[in-house]
Amino acid sequence: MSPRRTAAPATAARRRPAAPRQAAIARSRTEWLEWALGAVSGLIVLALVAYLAFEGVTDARAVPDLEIAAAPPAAAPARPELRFTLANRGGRAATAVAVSMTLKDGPRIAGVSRLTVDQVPPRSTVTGAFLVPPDAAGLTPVLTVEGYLDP
Amino acid sequence: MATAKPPVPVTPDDLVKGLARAFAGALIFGLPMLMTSELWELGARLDRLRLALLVALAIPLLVGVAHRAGFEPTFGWREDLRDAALALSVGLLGSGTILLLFNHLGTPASLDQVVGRIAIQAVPAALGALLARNQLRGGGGGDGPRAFGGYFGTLFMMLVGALFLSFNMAPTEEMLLVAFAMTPWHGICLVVFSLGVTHLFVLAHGNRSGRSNVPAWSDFLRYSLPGYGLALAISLFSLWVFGRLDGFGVGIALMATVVLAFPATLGAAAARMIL
Repeated sequence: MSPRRTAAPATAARRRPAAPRQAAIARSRTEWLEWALGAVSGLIVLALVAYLAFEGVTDARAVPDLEIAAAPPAAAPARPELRFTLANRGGRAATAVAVSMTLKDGPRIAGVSRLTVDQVPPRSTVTGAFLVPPDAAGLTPVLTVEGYLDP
Repeated sequence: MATAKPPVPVTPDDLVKGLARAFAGALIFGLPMLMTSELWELGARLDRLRLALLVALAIPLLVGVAHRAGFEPTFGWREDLRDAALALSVGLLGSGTILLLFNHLGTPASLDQVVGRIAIQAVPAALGALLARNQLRGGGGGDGPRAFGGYFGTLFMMLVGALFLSFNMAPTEEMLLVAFAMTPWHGICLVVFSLGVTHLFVLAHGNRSGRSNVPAWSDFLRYSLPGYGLALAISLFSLWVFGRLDGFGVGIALMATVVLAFPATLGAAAARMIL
């Protein structure tokens, strides 16, 4: 019997337990990933609950706080328009928000345009535009929030 | 490890049946979205980069679904890619046909709108085409090789379930109206309730890992929490991709995510049981 032939079974015998060991290592690695994924998900959920609780404590009696302001004009509008940003700085949403643009010539009101914005979420902004009549040159536009509904 | 078996020759009859199932699945799964007015509007005005991202991300997702629960047993990633492409084509064709029948496809002059409306509907319809095998044939995904199994295969199918339900609901106005009406305390209760319902599904499914020494809370940490985490992530992505969070503050965006994550986590948990 050659030394090589006697060595081969011995090597095989040494290697045989390696397969279950490798399987065990792979399984423990997968299990570690499973636990890690569970832990990360748990942390995300906890952070979410903590943030909502913080909002709940700080906005216990929240109401919408609406403010409208003129925004920079669009790059190349098809016709004259007055862009606006409607912001809700309050902790509660407002729906059916009525906004208007009054065109004034000194104390005289030359015209009024109205829009209804479907909803303005809390601490969020909505942008839009009033179309300005061609004969409005020289008039001063005044933007106003007229009212809203609770959601 | 997957064992490679020789592919079974596909007869023309098999092909026709497979395509018929794919079309039927695309219609059944896609019809709720095809009949939602918000989707018609979104298809016409949604930011094109987001729409492109949606379709691009759908391809690896569909390949994974084709591998795990496609409309026919597959034997390799090339076949999965072929089936995913076929499902997407069925989704595009089916969505286009239905929108044309409803006269909501848009005019040929507005090609951008036509493409947008079809593309936004094609992803859920393609998903339906692939899942048709499970739903219409009762195959249960048991035959054919299923190499993409185990824990991460299960999570993938949960992701698919979450994605499907959140895609159905994210474009609707109601998600935001519910979020507006809720206080943060309602939100916290909904998080706890969603987690509880997810865990009920996990308990109902039972421990199929074959491990006898697994403690009861292990399934909560390994399946319920990651399932809900996936639902939250998918909900946030769906709302963003459909432009529902544009201009929103962090608080209300999170609230809308929590609202959408409720149906999404149900979809995830149900997918784990059904698929």
